[in-house]
Amino acid sequence: MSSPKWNPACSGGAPPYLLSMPKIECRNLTKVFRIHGQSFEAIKGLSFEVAPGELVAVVGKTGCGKSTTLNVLLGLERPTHGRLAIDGREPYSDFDFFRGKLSVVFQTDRLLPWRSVLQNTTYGLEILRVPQPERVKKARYWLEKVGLTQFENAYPHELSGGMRQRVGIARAFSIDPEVLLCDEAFGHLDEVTANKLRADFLQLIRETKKTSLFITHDIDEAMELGERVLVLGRPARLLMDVQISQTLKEDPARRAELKARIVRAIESDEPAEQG
Amino acid sequence: MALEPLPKRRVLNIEMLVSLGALLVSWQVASLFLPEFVLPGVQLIFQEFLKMAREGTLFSDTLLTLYRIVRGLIVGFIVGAFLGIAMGTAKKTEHYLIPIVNFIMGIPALSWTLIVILWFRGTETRILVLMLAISFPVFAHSVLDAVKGVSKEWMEMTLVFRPTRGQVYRMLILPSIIPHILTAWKVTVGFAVRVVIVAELVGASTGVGFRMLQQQSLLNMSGVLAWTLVLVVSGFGMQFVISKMESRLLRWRPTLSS
Repeated sequence: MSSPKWNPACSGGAPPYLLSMPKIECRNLTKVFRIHGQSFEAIKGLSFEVAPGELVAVVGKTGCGKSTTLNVLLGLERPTHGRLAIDGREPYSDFDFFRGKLSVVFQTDRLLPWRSVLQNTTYGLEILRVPQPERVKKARYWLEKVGLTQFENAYPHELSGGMRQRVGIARAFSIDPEVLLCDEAFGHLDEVTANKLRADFLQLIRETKKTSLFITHDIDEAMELGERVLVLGRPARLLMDVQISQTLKEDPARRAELKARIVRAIESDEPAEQG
Repeated sequence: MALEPLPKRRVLNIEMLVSLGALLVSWQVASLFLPEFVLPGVQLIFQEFLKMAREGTLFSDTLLTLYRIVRGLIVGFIVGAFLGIAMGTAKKTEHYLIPIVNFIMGIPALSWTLIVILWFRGTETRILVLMLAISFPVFAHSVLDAVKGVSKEWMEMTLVFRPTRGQVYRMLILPSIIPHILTAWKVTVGFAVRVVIVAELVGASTGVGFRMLQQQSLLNMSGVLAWTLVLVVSGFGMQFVISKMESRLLRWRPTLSS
């Protein structure tokens, strides 16, 4: 193979996506739904790449096809045209290849009410047939990471919304996925809880160096979490693709300027001038 | 988490004792003014119980009737649950099967009683088929609705992990439909008690229904009432067992009082 593998020892800080095969490759993706005999385009020619280990935030208006994109990534929807591949394979047509490779933190926690916190955390491991003692050990490890150790025997209805979302995060990490996806994961929580959870979540992603795609409608959240932000139009297609450096994150003026550009791009629904 | 234990609800409470006591007293008073074959006194019904217990029919016939109900409903449940899951997971099956299920459900229990007597020989076979016929459509419908109602969100969450078909049934569909199955059992048990009595009345020489018919032909009102009480109590007993199973299986459910 001609393309060199990324070697962290000698990359010299160059962005990994320049040096390695993309982990996620989306080429001209289009998804058309037919509702009551009418065609409706949710995604229209979306193209982007995500390098291994990259943390990318995807931002766009509510209803711009972000969740449809997520469903295509998860293999739950078949693309109408174009191609979306993770590790060179398509999640929909190569459904079983992705056993144990993907995890999601959904907008709502989607915990199973008849399972305790511990049992919800072991759910994915149980599907992957990890033996009982090992899956309990792994689940406990992740419950500790999200700070819910003493609640492992509680049922979801006994927890607050923020705690339930933490269980969802532990469940997602427990299977040690290759790609971690997030869909408005903190959107319905109060601001204080969301901020705390966002920070903890970011910490976990950095520790585990997972390739992550974080879908949100909140531009501040996207700039806060992402090392790179993809801005989507409506129907979903790429309007902007910006690197978010640490210096930019720490510079309020540049942040505000970038946010304004993103807002303009979303409002005009036109690809923005690169600057 | 330190959860407050819920206050325990007692099966027998003061209010219940008062209302049942009032019923008993008014019955006894009324019996003083009415002939015995219309309204026998409480002591006569009690004597009847003693007689039934001495003869052994109280236990043997009650147990036999209960056994017929439970056996029939288990068979009906297996058939109904199988059909319900088949219809719930494959749309085509539903289109083909639901008219038949509905047609069978439309046949009155009394018609079934006469039909099974003409179609089959032997009391046990007749009652088994009757119980099956009246219960499986109810189970099929409730399982079908329950399977259709399995949350799409939970299904997507589960599919992301790439489960096998068996895992989807065992880990997601089955636990989600258990509450609906228990409700179906509660409804069906009450219905089955009434139907089995008619069946025993018409075509059996054992069981509570047959004993009631015997007492009626002897014009023994105390006997009819004693057996009726047995039925009421048995019905309560079965409901109680299902409620116990419910609180055991569904202990994860939030309760209104918590």
